Amino acid sequence: MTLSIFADGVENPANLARIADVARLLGAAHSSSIEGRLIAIENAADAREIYGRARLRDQTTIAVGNERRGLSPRTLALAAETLEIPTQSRTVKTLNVAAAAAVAGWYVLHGSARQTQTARPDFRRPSLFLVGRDHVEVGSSLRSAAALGFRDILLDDRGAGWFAGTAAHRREARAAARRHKNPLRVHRASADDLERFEEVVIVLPSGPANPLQRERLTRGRRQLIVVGSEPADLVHLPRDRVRTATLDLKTFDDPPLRLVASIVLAEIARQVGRRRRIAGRPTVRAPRYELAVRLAAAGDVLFVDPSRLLDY
Amino acid sequence: MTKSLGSDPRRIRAVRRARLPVVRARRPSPGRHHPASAADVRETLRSFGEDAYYGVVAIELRPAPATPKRLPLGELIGPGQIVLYDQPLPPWHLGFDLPADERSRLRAAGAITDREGIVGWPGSTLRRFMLAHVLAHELGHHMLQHERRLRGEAAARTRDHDARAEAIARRLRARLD
Repeated sequence: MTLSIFADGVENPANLARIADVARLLGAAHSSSIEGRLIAIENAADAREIYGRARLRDQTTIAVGNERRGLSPRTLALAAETLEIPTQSRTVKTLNVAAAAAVAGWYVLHGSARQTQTARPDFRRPSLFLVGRDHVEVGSSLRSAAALGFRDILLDDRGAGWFAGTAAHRREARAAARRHKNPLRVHRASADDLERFEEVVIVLPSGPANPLQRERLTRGRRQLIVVGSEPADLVHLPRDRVRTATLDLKTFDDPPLRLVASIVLAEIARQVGRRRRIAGRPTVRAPRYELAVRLAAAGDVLFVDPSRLLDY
Repeated sequence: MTKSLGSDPRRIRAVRRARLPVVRARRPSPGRHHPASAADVRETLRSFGEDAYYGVVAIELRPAPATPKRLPLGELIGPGQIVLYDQPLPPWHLGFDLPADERSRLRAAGAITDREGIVGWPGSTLRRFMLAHVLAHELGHHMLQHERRLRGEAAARTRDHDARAEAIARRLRARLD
């Protein structure tokens, strides 16, 4: 089995570089042509969810499209299957193209169960602690977090400049986060602030640990998922409260935060689930305004239309 | 931004986009009638102008529901959906007297309320009441809702909504004179 990633019309060189990083992290090829079965990653009307698929068995290419226009109609027509990453935000509905490639590649490669359906997903969603060193990576990760249903994020800004960087860095970071429509609340935090959590799960890109999909990530706010940090940073926490999980990616020196964080966020979104859909059309009760002549019915006076009396 | 559908005033958008709504008439209940016909409603809408019926999808003349203690005249039943109810043939024998405010409202529309429990409608006053008061009032409700682009919620609490709809109705009535 081999996986290739095909960037169809991606314009931004930085995104192309990150897609090449995705290929290296997943052990896939960054291909300029389509080899084997083609899976299109696109928010199309007939697209299936990325969740609930078996592990990859055949030679497959996943295609991601242009930042604004998406995949070309020609590529979509060639695709054997179209998959989408289900988002939960009303305003941020897409991920960065490299982040989408990472999430799609990881799920196509590893497979997963279906996304859970639950009454109150917000009660199951854990807290998230991001450690960022690059402003664009932090911005893209925050965009993914908003798209995948998070409302609050703890951010340890280690030189990314999200809170106090130069104007240019802050502008770029906020553009990457789609801040003009991203309602996410970003809280400044550090490793010293994590003692209040009952369980801390440190997610590592690779290494010997429990696979992330086997870790329960639905314990609500008392559970904290840490991305971008090493266990050595959290030695001050009691050992019985700290767990480690791995994404089983290929060994890579300083993997881009947006790729790792987006995969973790997608897995949290899958486990936390989405709200159950109510069958049928939602009933919107529009207001009604009636104009009528009020009758001063005193006591037990009964109003009878003369025509009804005649009918009787 | 000029020539924008989102930022132009309602009357400018209305001139460009308004279509005369569908006006349907259902058979009235036995012994009752529609004081204003579908053609009357269309003609009145033209007189009111595009900004009055911009966004109205349909106006239906239909039999009134049987309700105790009130005579339904008209209703805004949903976004752009107005209903005018059929009425008893004049004079109306109500069986008991009207509250003072209702009596003055009907009298202002041309009704004769001298005899207790009986409302007379000389000439075409009932037709005019249905068009210039009831239809105009429901159009006022519609304009308030449509301007705010609200589907499932009210633009104001009911009492204020009624007062503002009546203010719009007064403006529309002036266009008929």
